[in-house]
Amino acid sequence: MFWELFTTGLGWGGLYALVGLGMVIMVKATDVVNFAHGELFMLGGFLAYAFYETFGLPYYLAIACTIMLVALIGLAMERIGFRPIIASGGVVLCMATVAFSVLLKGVSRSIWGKEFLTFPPIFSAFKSLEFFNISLNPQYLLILGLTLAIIFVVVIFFGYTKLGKIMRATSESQRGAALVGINVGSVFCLTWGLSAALGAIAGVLIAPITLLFPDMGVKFLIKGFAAAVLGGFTSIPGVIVGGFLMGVMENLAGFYIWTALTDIFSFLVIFIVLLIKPTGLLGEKIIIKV
Amino acid sequence: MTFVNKSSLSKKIASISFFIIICALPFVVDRYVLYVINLIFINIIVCLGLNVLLGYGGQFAFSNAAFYGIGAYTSALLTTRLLIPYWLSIPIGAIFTAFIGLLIALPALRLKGVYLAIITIGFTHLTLWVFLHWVKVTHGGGGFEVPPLVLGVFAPPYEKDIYYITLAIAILAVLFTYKLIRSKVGRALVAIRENEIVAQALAINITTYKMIAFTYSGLLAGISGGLFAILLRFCFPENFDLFQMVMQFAMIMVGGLGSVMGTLIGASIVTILPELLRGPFTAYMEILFGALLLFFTVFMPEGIFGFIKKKGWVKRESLCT
Amino acid sequence: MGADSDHNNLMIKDVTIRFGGLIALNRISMEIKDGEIRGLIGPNGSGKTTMLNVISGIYRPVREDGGLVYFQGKDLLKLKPHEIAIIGIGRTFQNLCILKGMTVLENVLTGLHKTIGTGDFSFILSPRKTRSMEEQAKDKAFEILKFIRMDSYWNHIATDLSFGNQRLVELARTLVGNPTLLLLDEPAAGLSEAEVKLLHDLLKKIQQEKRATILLVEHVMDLVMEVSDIVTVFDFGAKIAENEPIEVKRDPKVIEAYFGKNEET
Repeated sequence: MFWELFTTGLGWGGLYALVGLGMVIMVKATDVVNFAHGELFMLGGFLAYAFYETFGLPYYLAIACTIMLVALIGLAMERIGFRPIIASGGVVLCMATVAFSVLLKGVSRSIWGKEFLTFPPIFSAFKSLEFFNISLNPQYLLILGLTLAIIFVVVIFFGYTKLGKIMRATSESQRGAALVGINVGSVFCLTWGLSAALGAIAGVLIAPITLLFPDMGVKFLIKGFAAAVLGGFTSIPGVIVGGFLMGVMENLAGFYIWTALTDIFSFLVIFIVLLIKPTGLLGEKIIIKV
Repeated sequence: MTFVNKSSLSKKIASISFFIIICALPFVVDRYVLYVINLIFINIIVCLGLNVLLGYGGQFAFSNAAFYGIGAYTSALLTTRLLIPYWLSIPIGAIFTAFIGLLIALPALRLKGVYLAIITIGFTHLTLWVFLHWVKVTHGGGGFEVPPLVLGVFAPPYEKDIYYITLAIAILAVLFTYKLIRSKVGRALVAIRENEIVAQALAINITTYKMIAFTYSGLLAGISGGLFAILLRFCFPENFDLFQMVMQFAMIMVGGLGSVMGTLIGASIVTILPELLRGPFTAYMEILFGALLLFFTVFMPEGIFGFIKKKGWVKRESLCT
Repeated sequence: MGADSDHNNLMIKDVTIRFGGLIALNRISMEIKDGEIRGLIGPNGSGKTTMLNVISGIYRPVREDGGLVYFQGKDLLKLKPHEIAIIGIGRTFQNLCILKGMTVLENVLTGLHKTIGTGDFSFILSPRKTRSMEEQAKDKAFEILKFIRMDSYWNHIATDLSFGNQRLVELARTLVGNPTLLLLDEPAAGLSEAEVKLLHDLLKKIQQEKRATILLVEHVMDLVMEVSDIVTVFDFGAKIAENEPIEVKRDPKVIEAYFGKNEET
């Protein structure tokens, strides 16, 4: 039982890490926390359903279109609710993302109504795998595998590609980046698009194993927050570690300690970490310069 | 300075006439309108607290919706389960909520900006979860009926009966907040909002004033929550979720952060707007609020009051006597 | 601490501050006498602002590094920044720190925070007393505004003023609390020549009329050398000279710190 919980937990944890990763990239590059990130995730699921079930596109094309469309929505958010007010400071910028969050949720609710939608899994014909006496749902393994692959790609991107290094430079110092000729505006666009795409991918991955409903965004926003807080909001490896830890611990705690814990586990993590060590496991302390 | 007297006389006449109209309304308008006006008064109270915390104090916290709910549930439960009369249960609810506000201030002292937002979002969700799952006490997701506050003076209708109570409490809240803002407390909060280091260099104890801000927002949310339960005569969890928080943010953004008049304007407009669009548009409330909040955040972050102040049509609200 | 502390208003002994691997202050010791104007100069990054931040309580040395900071016999390292302000230490900041959203008068009134009223809610409990204390505070605020010749701007939004005027308002805000020790961080930065002259007269006036001790961090050499009784020089976090202005100007170590070694001399 433990190993089933563990692997399922890793599966969920990968999703949390992915959602959290989208948020951390945004925070590092733009200093803004996108409160609508959960809705971009939710739209990932709903649009996949729309493209596949409603418009009948082939499976992989539907997913590709979904990711592109959500990335475009992210760019639209950057253009409408970020660039015009970039000088106004943190609170106003975050308020704009809160506004988008409600707006997107409302749009989604009015299009797809109050029903809970389902999305077909990739391995519809497979039964659960037997592995060393543990039965595993292949969908979770797939999610885990894909999440790890995507995280790997993202880490390579930021660590070794020129574009990734440009983005990292901008997140270290916007002024410094501008001084060496980096087009900071383009980096912002790229960040919003990339962050939204990551959210959408997580939404697409989760669509087969859960019911889709417009309010699911908030739930995953908080899971993403918890992952980022646990790992350290300014640390990419941190949020990945944090996500996986969250997934596993939440699953185990829910079974072994108290079922209600799965609901409130993320809140508890947020409270405990922020009160004891706000920088999280791998985050850095910020020195105030007066 | 004689020219000031003339305009202040006409201002006095305008204010008194306005006040007479407000008092006379219950005898003129129908029940539904009375309900909405009562709701405006209640929203004014809760948003004054939020504006003190966010507009003046600069604390970006999502805790107010939870405080609103805690106030509602505490008063309503004290009355329904322990049969404590309203004139006692509402103050108790308010004080208890103020106390919770004080507790929330403690993590707020160490957390700034986004971290404060996240932990208070967590708090609001946790509170909602408690409302939903502590069924033994809170009656769970279905909510419960709340007995009406019967004065018998103006009833029927019910909304007329409680009108003068909500009006009176709203007026008190406005006067009290106005005095608070104009004192050294208001200036200290603004200093903290602008620059905590400078505030400390001016001998302002950040801890004390953040606690005051959170406790005050808790107090007003607690009172208005109790009144809300009485108005609705029903208490259920979904009223106190993040959408409620967004509504309150919208009210103070539309009206104007950091102004009492702005709170009055914003609470009135944002309470009336969805009621005007009821019927075929109920499903689109989220879109309405999202678009409204977005519009004001991007195009008019100073709010309506800030806008008319910039135009010079109205005087700035002073922070000193 | 003994009778010695009465003569020395501010005593700093062996203070070290590190930021990661960087040593911002390296075992600094300084003593400033009552009523003195002390200039603190040095190249950029030499630790001058860090020194002010230590005195005003923003940075604190780690326990292993030891160090003492005493003001009129009180241990500043044990106090929080707002407590340090309460005992009479005022400061201005390098980056303009005027309070936005407030008028000039309100800015200055905020400087009187510690002197107004009996409590935060005294406006309910004792409204008449509060009103009279607010009136007294407003009078004091106007007094200081007249002192710096800014009283006609009292109702202007502080950020609408010119840069030099904003600096003056900041100074007024700090002065109104009657500080015994005034920490000024590059008050002349960005001021015109005429404004610097005004600042010079102001500092002298403050020293005479208000009997305050002043620690002045500055880059504008003329101002510092003319107005200071003694000048301390920092370089890379260490004190390299401390003497009367005329001696400091000639000190080869100081010249080297600013201009580098001249091989020919």
